[in-house]
Amino acid sequence: MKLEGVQQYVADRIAAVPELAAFGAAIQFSPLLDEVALKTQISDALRTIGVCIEISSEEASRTSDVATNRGVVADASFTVYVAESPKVAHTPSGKLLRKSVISAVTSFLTPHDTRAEFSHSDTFKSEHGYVLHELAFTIRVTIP
Amino acid sequence: MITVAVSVDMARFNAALAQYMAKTSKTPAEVLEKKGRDLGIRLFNGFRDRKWGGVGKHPRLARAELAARTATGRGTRVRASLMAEYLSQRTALRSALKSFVGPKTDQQKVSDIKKKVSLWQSFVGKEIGLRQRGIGALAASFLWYRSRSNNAVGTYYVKNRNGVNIGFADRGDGYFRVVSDADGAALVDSRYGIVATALTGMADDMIQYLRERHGIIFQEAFKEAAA
Repeated sequence: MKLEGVQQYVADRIAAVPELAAFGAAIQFSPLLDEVALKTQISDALRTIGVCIEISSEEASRTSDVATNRGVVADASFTVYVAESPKVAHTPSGKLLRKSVISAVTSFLTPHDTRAEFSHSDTFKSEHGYVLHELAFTIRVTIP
Repeated sequence: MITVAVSVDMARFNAALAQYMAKTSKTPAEVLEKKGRDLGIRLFNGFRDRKWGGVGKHPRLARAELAARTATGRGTRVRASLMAEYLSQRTALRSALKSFVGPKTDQQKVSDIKKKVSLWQSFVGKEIGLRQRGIGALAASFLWYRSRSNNAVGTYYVKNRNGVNIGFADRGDGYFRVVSDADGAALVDSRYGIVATALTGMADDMIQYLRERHGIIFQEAFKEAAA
């Protein structure tokens, strides 16, 4: 697994679960994305579907001096943001939605998959009742 | 945009810079100045580390001593020749300040102190400059950032001890140019990728800033959805 492939890896696993795929394709965040367009995309998804899933850009930290002929082995960390609207009914929701995303991201699609590991989560509630789940994961990558 | 004399893939850097410019509270001119200066410092450090014959015997000697002595409430030692010159200039400055007729306002008193302090600081700068001689012509060609004013517009040349231009920084309307005219800069860069490393480091810094703004996006999106 290469660092630049992490977001697509996660998006594929979320898309493979029908109940999550129904919420639309997960947004692959990049700091270089246009903020206004991104904001509109999130708020539109919340208004229409009630859920918006976004995959943060990944960050890698070198874990050891282990270097293969393909590069240095590192742990990449990434966060999956799941925003929920209190105004639009959706299933699953709340804790079930969170569990469903965690299980999707840490699942194997093929027998030779590198597996992401769930690290920790946090949940915030906005003044309007919107909920934001922050689900943090790590995955082993090779940096050439 | 920042242009460099050596050709590198600048797509990522330019994308980050464009986003940074759009999102920071600084004006485009301020961003160019800040990032241009940052580039100059990174290039200086990069070329200094690749100096022919290795890094000098006492890298950062003056700065390390300055930091250590400042931490214990002491100043920087300057060599006897500079101290003599300083004492002579201090005497002249003191008598010029004393020649003022009439009572001084608090503002004038502060201004006098600042003049004395800046005189000493200029000699500390000379001492540091003397101790750090021999950093290599390639690195030295980026030393404009030490003496050039942040507000300077136009071309600012870096000269060697013989008065020959070895590099320059050029800021104009919408551009900031950093050029090294030192022989061998392109060759050393092509071998070690110093410019590319500097640009990658700068792009990483800007991307980190943009990433930190990420949390705000959700809060604003919630407000938008609730409206």
